[in-house]
Amino acid sequence: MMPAIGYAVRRENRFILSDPKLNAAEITFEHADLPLWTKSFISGDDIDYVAIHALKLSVGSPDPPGKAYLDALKAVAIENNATAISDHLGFTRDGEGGIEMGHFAPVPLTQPALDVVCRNLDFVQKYVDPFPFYIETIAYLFQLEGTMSEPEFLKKMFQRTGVGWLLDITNVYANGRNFGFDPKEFVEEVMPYAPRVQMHLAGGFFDEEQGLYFDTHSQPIPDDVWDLYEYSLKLGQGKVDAVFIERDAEFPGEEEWRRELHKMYDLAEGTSSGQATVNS
Amino acid sequence: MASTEKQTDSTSPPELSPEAAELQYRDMIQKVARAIAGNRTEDVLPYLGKKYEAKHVEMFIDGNFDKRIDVLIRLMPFVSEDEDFPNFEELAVEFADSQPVAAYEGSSEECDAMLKWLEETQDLTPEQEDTISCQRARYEVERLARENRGAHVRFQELVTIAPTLMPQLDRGDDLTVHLNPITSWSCLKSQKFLDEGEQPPVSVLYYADEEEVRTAMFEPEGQMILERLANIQPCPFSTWRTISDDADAAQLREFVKGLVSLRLIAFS
Ligand SMILES: [Fe+2]
Repeated sequence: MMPAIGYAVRRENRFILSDPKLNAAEITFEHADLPLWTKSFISGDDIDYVAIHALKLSVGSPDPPGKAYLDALKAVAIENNATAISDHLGFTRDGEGGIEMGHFAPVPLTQPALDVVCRNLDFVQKYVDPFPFYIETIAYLFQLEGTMSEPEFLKKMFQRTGVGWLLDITNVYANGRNFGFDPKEFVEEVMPYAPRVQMHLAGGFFDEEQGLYFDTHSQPIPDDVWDLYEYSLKLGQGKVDAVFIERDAEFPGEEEWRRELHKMYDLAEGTSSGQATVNS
Repeated sequence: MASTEKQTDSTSPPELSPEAAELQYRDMIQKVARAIAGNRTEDVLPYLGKKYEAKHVEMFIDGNFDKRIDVLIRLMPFVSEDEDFPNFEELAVEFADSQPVAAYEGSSEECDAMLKWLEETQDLTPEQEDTISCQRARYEVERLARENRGAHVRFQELVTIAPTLMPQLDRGDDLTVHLNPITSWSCLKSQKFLDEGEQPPVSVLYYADEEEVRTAMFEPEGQMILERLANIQPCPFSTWRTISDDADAAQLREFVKGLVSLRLIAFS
């Protein structure tokens, strides 16, 4: 099965929606939820697979996601004729009566966190039905003290909730490089448990001074990430629904936007027709 | 092997009930989230995984804070780009330091909170007050459009054909008049946004025009006629004319022409 291929769409790359190799688009909810818009964010374009990508469900928070946010999310999904909805595995707030932190922090890899996450994912999936929901594993700068490994946590989460995995290839690459694990082994361990998969690809940079790779979505996708993408496609064959490139800054020229899209397409086509090989 | 397990067991804390474990989790998330929002790395450290150092938490906190300031600058362009607020970034930092974002609140609530904070904590000039009221009126238009999306979309469709229907009104046909449903009034107190010769206070109407917020200024008489229309619309033109008795038919028709060109009223 060939996954749908596309970009996270923004003003700067809308032209690419007419590229013959693109049949998917991801819309960041906050970009599409424009109060004065009279038409949908994706309009008149023939897109097979539209995913709405949210930021604030905060499934790691002990209280459930806000209904107003979920209603708005669902409205945007309906308006844009979406296929699926996604958000991140993390927490952006503490709880009712509390505060927002802004960006999502990783949930601690513990049993109580797993219980809370699964409860919230069940709630979200029911709420956004019939849209299938995917949860993205994030890049982190730190983890809170845990009692299980990340793959262990994820496997249990997929088994309990049946949620889809938004596997951000660059996030796994960054975490592996920064904190010393093999990204391929990580994907190998988790992939069999994910019922369905979307993927993200992006480029960041390695900060020599900090000794850390930052997933900034501002650079070309590095070779190691392409390699991990191809490897993951092979492992997820038959259940990868869509793959998207994310680029949020330092926008390239049209040729470069197309080059990465075509590379993503060609690798997926090679994998689905059985040409790719897994080199672990 | 068995003894190792036993040893682990004896040093592990006693197993908590799921309810107690969740309470403990809630307490930890609260402490960590508040420490991060309040820029207190040291309060995160007791919960930090072994592989990680304070510098990792610091980087996360700094990144979060910078993003918050970026959002305030980007979403409050009327204030952040205004020459009367040359130190907007400093003010944004002071505001962000002074109060966290309440749970479940988004950027629009935060921007509103910052406008309020500016009014409460700064000694504002009338010019700065006008800038703030402009920004607030724009948010109000956005809020109304969000809450009345259907009405906004319908009116924007209708308003595109208003100029072609205008001749029918001139011929004396009694068309139904629709006022743009997404409007908000505000009052300018300084000369800042006024042309030479105009005297404050002046009423300004902010309204949605497709994806933009536009403004129009009105004399008190014009404002009154529009407010009357707002109370009874959609209505036949003749009904509106009857209650606008302070303007004669020709004057009202001229006024209507102006409103059509501003895309403030439409016909059906
Ligand atoms: Fe991502």
